[in-house]
Amino acid sequence: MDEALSPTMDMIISLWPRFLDATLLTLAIFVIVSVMSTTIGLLAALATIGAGRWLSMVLAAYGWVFRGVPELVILLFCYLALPQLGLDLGPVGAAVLGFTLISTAYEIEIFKAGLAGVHRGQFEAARALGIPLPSALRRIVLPQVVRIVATPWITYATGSIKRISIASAVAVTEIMQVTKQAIAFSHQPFTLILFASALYATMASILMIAEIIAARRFKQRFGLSTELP
Amino acid sequence: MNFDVVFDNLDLFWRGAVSTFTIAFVTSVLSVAAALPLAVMRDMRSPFLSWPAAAFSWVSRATPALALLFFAYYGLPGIGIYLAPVPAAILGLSLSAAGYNMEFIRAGLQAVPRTQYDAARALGIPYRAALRRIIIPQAMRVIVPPLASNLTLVIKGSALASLVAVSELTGEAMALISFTYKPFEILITVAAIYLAINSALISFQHYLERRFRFG
Repeated sequence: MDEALSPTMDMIISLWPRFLDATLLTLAIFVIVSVMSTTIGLLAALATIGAGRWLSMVLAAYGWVFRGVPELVILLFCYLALPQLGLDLGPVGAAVLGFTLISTAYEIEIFKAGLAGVHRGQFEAARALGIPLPSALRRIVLPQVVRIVATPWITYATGSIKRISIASAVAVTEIMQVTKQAIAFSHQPFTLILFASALYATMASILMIAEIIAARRFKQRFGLSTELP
Repeated sequence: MNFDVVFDNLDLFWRGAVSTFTIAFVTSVLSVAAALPLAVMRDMRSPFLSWPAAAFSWVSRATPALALLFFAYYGLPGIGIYLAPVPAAILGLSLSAAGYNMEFIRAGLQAVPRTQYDAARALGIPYRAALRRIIIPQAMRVIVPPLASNLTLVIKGSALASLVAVSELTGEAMALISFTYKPFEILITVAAIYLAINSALISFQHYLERRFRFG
């Protein structure tokens, strides 16, 4: 058994540094995209509270486009079409921009639903007590929003980390790209794809477990807050 | 900006769109057909049935769709199974969609009160007939909306088939870009076609939801 396994193991071990770099790049893209899209998504959702209908319409159109067009098409646009307009970001830059545009569309929906889940009376009570809107949002509304959005946010993040594999199509050396390159010279597609899938599945599984924990932890508190009149 | 490249190649976009729709449709049907028995198995008492179903669900949901596509197209020949690009793409996309569909169907089956199962058993109705005639019709109300929105996700996912040599909409577009070098015009058109297909599907989804509202 050792003899049958060892060439495969040797190949994985010799490729390990490349796979490690690819995993770190995947994680880095994931973190940057998540931080940017969460921040922009939250701010955009907050802006809809006070703003008129035009902002909601602009955001609805934005969501319709970026949630409806395949991720691959958006990445290809950022990678191939934007340089024609004078914006050449390189492979990683194009992927980060593309994924941020896509994720922001989903984060806006997640946070809008979160804000809608906070009872209107909370806003009115804060105003009646003379608490300024920014500190009411920060101290009263957002802590409740965090509990509501925790589970859907992690669910989306799980999909998000898997989707980074698509960046291999725009020459980003993340895990699938390194896998494709390794297949070209090692001719062991079955093992290599299994290994790459395991790397992605490990990262996704950590988030899937976090999702279960968050769902359990926030269920009670969320249940309590909805019972209020 | 010059959209002549689009108008000169309308037949190519049409072919691509038909191919995208066909792949997505077959994938949806296959992934639901595979997910239904798996969802039933998942909640069976026997661990020999429930564990494989749970493992499949986890693998399917934790693995990127692209990795499953590559597995079907580049990986399977490694163990002697050779699939043409389109069947390989459909297999990869179906494996990816089946895990989510399984969870939607399970949620639907669990939403049917336990007493319905008990009543069917008390009346001596065999389990399979009870599922088909009593449980599933009631579960449809819960199952149809997420399954229908999953169809939109499958349309988006089918773009990945272009990466395993399938000439669907994105594949045709990538080929056209590589010899005309007009990425801007071509990709904008492709995006508009995907949005049009999605809008048609969302109307269909609303129709289905009305149809199953009263179960």
